[in-house]
Amino acid sequence: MFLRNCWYAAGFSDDFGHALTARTFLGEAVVIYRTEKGAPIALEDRCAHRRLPLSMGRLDGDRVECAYHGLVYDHSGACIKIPGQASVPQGARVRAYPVLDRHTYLWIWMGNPKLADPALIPDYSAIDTAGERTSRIRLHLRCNYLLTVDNLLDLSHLAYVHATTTGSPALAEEAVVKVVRVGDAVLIKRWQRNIDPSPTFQQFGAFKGRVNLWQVSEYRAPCYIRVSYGSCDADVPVHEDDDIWSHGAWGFKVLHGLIPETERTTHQFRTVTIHPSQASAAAIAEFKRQCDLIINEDREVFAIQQEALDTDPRGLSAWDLRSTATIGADQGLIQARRLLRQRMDAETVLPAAASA
Amino acid sequence: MLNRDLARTGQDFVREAWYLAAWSDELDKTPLGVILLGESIVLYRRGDASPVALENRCAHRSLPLSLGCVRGELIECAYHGLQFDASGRCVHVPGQSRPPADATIRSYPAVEQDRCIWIWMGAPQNADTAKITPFPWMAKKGWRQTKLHARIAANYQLIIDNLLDLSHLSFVHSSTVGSPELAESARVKAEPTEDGVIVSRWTLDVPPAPTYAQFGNYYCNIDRWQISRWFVPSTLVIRNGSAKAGSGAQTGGGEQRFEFIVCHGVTPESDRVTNYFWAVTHDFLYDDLPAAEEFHRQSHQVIGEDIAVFKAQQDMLERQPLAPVIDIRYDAGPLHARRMVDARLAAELHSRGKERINVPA
Repeated sequence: MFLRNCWYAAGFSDDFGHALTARTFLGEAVVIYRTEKGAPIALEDRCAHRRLPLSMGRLDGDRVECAYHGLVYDHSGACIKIPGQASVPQGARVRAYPVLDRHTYLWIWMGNPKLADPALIPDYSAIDTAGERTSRIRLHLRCNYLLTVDNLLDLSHLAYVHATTTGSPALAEEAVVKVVRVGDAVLIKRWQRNIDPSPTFQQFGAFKGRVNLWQVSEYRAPCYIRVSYGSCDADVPVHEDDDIWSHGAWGFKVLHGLIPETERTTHQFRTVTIHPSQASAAAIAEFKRQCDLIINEDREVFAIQQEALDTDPRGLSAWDLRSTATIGADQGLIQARRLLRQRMDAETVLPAAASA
Repeated sequence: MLNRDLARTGQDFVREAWYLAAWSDELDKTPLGVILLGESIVLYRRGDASPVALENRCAHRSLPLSLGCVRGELIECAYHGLQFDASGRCVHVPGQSRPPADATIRSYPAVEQDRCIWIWMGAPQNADTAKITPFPWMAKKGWRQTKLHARIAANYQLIIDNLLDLSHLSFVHSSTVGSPELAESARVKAEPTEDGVIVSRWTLDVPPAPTYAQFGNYYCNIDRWQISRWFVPSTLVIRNGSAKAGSGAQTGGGEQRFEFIVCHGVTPESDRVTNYFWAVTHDFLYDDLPAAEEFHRQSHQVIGEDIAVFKAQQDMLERQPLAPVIDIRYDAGPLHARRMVDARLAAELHSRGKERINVPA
């Protein structure tokens, strides 16, 4: 079960060109291409006739020709030609999904197309102004997307999973954590005062000694997540009502594009904006290396978690994690799940969503 | 109402029929394990080389007999040495003077014909060898063959659909045997027969597809025929040919005739796996081996392209089995075949009364 009436990140905009690309989103086969003028198109990836994936076919201008019997579809998904036949039967069409480029991502709407409002795309404009100072990665995760959401909303795991880079024991042991609901977002704010900097902060922040660190994870349903990291010398005062999105002396922002592939697999498209103090190409390259190391450490954890859920004799899914054992750090996760559940429940009673 | 799950997931099979179980040269002196319609069968040759088909399971501790060995007329289990004769009766248990009375396994009628091993999957008393689909070109003097046995992760009816609608050549095989006119301007007729359907396609006065131009040596337009004959439930003979346009091909004559005949055994292993036996036979190029080999290479390219389609269809159908499909004009033949299979299945169910049929897992 997934939230359908929302935008998901289908990939980075430049992942798609004037060629047929097959993807699975929310268990559905989708073919994506751009018209000759560059407009993105997403169609159900199966011919209405004998179900061959349209992605096996070819583009004829802006139209898709099936590889089996040559049925031709236009960008709205309507079948407009059947070889050897004068007319096209009614109902010969495949589904078209709304798609839009924004903030370097291609966004896809998997629900009722009538509800696809571009204003609902999350604000990832931080990427637009970062220009070259970004690090991107595409990942295929062997887990339900909720495990990734959990991970990004509870950064105490840095102390253990990422101990060689952004993590140090104090991040878990000495953090002050506040969970705040702001409109349709959940903010999980964390501060650590007067601690030893973790390796990455030591390396790039050029601190004299102990430091103050802060992180904020912002969640919006179903899986829009922005995370910001900041730091300063320990003798610089930090108040909890300060702008937690600021980087202080050194920090970075992470913006996550996530889309479920199936109940057990997820596509992740992550962008990190790099702090302006990192000027040298070598420093940027090293920072990017650490970013990719970190996310691959998480990826291994996700696969092991999912495997454990799949093999549990009780038949668990990622939704059951909250009921097995909650720890203090889970408060943000619980609120996020509640927000998502409310949205999903609302969707199941809307007839508009069912008819999509 | 026709079953709209094109992949026929969970559907049983017509059992009162001969199925192509193996090419003759796949069965040598050692036992061969095969699975037909969900049933595990061991094939072996007895002393006179004639084929025997038995349930592939020792009556004692269920070891597959295909792990055993042949002893003259008998097959010997690899575990405790029990020996079975061609009727499935256990005739020897080592260390014991007499086998138990009920030590018998099922025996299937098996026949070798046209370099194929055929098995009758229905009631043995109905096994009439006259009902075996003749593939005489497989062993005909002056004819060459190239063949393939592929185990395909797809329901067998998807393969039959393909063979009864050859408009797909225009798209799937455009670099070899396909040309646009086969889909755009063919005259297609589907004629039901007592035991199947014949789909005839004539495409007149059109440029030759690449393979036809190459091996038919055409520098002119051609009249082309594709005659698919399907025999319920799972064998086909397809005649493919051409002659100079307007030279009388439609009345059986024609100048510069070029023809090849393809034999198909589309044998279900389960509802989602098929053993596909495919052979192209031809008498042209008999004396030109390099050209024949190139023709064979192109033929194998064609069948490889089809197999990729079957797998992709099956995958898509398993993901969304109930999504709607449309039919097009050329589906008359394939749909007739599907209806005929459904009717045979219903008749077999009826004749078995209330007996529960075995649906393979």
